[in-house]
Amino acid sequence: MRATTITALFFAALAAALAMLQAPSDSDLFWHLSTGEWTLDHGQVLDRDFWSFTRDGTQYSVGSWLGDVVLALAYRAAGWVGIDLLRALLVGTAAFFIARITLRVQPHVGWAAIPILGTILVSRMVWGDRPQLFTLALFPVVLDILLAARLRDPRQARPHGSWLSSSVGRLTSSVGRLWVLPIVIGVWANLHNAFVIGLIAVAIVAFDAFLERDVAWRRFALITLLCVVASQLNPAGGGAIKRAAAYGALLPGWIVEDRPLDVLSGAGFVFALLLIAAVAAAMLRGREGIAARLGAPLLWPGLIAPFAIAALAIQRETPYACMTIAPFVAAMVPDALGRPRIVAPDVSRVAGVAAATIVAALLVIEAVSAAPREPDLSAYPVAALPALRQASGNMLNEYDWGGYLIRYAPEHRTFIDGRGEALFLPEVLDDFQRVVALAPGYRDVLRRWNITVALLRPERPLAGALREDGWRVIASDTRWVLLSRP
Amino acid sequence: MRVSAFAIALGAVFGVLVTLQPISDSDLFWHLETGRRTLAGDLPRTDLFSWTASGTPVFTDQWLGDLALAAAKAIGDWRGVLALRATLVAALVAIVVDTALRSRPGRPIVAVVAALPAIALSRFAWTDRPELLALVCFALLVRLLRGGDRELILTIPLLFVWAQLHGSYALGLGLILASCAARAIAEPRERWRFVPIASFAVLMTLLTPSGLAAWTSSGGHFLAPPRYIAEEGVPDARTLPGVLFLMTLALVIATSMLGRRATLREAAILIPVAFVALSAARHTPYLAIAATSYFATSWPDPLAKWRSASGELARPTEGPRAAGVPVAPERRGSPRTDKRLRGSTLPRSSSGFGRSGVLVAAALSLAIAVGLADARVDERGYPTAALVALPAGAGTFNQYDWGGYLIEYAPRTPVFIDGRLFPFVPDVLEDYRIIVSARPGWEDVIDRRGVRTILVRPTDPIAVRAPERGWHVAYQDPIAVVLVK
Repeated sequence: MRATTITALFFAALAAALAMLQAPSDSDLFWHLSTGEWTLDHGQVLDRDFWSFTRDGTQYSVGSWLGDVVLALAYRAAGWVGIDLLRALLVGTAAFFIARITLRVQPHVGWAAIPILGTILVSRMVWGDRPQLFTLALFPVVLDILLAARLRDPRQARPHGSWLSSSVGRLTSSVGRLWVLPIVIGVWANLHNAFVIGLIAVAIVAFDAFLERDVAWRRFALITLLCVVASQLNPAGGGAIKRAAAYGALLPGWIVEDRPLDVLSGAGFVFALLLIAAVAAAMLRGREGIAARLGAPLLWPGLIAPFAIAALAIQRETPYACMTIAPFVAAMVPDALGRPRIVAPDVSRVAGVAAATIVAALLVIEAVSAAPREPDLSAYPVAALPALRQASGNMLNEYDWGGYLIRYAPEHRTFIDGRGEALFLPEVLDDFQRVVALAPGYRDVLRRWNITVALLRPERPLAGALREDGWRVIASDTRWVLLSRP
Repeated sequence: MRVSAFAIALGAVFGVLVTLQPISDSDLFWHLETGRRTLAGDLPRTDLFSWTASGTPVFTDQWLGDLALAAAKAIGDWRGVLALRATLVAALVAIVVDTALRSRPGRPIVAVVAALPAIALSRFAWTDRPELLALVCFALLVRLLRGGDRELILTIPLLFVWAQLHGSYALGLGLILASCAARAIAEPRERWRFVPIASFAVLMTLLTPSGLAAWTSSGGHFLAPPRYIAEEGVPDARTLPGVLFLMTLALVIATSMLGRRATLREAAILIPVAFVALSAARHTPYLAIAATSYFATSWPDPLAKWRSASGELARPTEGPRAAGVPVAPERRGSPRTDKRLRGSTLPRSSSGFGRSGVLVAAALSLAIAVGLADARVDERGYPTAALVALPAGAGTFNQYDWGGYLIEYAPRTPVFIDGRLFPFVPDVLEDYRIIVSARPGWEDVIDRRGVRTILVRPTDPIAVRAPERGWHVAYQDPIAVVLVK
């Protein structure tokens, strides 16, 4: 067993341990959970809305039916701890493969640890309990399989000895694992809508193999084709890719996580440092230096440039960009600084199994003793619910609270919730933005939807205006106010 | 510093084209008023234009830029402002293109294509503000930093002038220090000779009317950019400048990984600029300008295979670059002072009568274009017709974007806020945001501030809400609404 595998396991355990301490709190978790439970209860995929009064009966698909079902199964199996464990498992899987990809090209733990830890920290922005966790786990799996197959030829590059065995058997093995990809993509397409980034990675690597005249380029091309076919095997069929393309073209700016990345924020700063380090190292080594150190010189800009641009355009894509940059930085920065390469030592299988057992035991202890038993609802209008149950009529609610209300106040249908681009675009979202900001025509919106109850943040202009206009404050807090039309 | 005739001609083309762009930048007006007072010998050190921050200290970091604008206006009215803009744009494009041409001698197609991102991205900063002067300084600095010791020393007076023009001089100082460090690493035996250069560079940034306080403006903009102002926001892929920037960044990434090996000096220029450019939309042109020469030296020549082998051998700098070998022609002597290279690497038209002729022709073209241009302020986005409804004296609340316009066109009505931003941070700005958004408590703020008149856009929430709360509409058109209590 290679020492790098043990190291990757350590990073995975660290990330999983951190993830397990986070209490469930994501607003979208609640409607994903309700969707999964409905699917389990009815034995069919939920394809129309009955939780909002603005889109009641409308057909829609968010493209994550299987992800919702898995969340619901985890919850039914162990309550909120089940959600904690699922999160820890998926984050740990992501961290393991991020570390594996990076350590494959840089076995020196010191140099590899910086980009690995940076990527894990950045990935925290998508640790919310949603099907996006499956994308977080599966993208590095796909990347690992692709890079292992593409960087296999010792005549192109031989960064270090252990991972690049010259034996024909291992070469066949790394290419052979490519056949797993259509299965992964097929499952992923049912778990989360962002499976498209995996398809893009497969296509980029296949195109690179073609350009570089890799002897296996036909196999890469065939695998790409099979992955595209596999991605159609979901309830939406080809509509899943269309939906993802439409999302990319939309660049939704009303949700914070879909806005452009701010490099002066925590995650943005780490991403910018990684990107700048990659560019600096690449400048100082040039194409020949990259080819000598990593091989496949066309592949790196092919992967890094599009994913970095995607991250800057839509900040939730940042972790995936970091995953493509991390191995490059780990290998090329020491190379640019003239540091010698090292070879990963082997450790005995017994030692490896013992290490894995200890890590697993520690995680079990953490799960039993420290994993949160209840969700963190401090961001939600919990205390408003008793008063809300007494109120009747159509309710205008904050976008961010929609998912919470679907689960905890089902007697009131929402005006809008986190199923944004799948269900509420453009009319309902436009109406929501207009009414809460007091834009011209806001009274028409209130009238058209016959709003009689409003659950808003107190700082909203509408909250102040409704009070001034005589709406009754049923209940309020520093974070919410519940108003009723007189 | 010699600029090639081709670069001058191309600069003139863009200088002529930019005269078609109307004068409309809101901040121009307060820059002009500040410059006028400076020209009269009274550099404003406290706020004179608002009633909310009257007497508050203001930055003087752009005093020379303001003065240049005011002088241009005084000499030629709005046509003078247009002439200044056209000249600066021509100079900017000429420097950028010339830098690319010198980086890739004999390959004008590659050089011009390499300069296109800089021209395209900087186009969004071709407005009538001191910022345009700063862009010219930056392009000049990048050019000088690629030269030898003489050019490095010339960066010090350049930085001195830049520090009087615009707060972005801090980026210039950073690049000079980074270049000195890179040279010191490359020449360890003589590394100490870069210490006085670096020290003088730092000193130059302190020799301004603001002294040390000049750093407050630059630091504030970089470390905590006010994101609610569009140009201080992050580069946004939903806008054309954002798309152009991301394309430029992708080119930088691809070039660094597919191109030749760069020198430490090249990296010392490009890497800090890349980080700064990522931080705010207004900084994005700097990356494209800094990357121009790197692109020019790294990108392949599309016509290479049609060139004869003998022609290739005649060009001394093309061979090693084409082979991917690092080239460091800047070491010690500049290309211009190296007699071996003089005449052989520079385009034929870059010396002698040809350049002078092109220079005269370019100046004439600019003069004719400015003379023919419609040199008036484009007031379509401003509340021109609403001005008659504004009372004199304190008490008028105005749209942020119209503050500068009011300073110029309604001098009897001091503003609530304007584009100078910093005198209004944090209290006035926070009150402004509460009122304009009609947030809860807006009426209390209005009472506390003593607002009697509101001048905003009809789509602003306060324009919708105030009439519902008894404010009288004194004037309204599709651009502006004036509300009176």
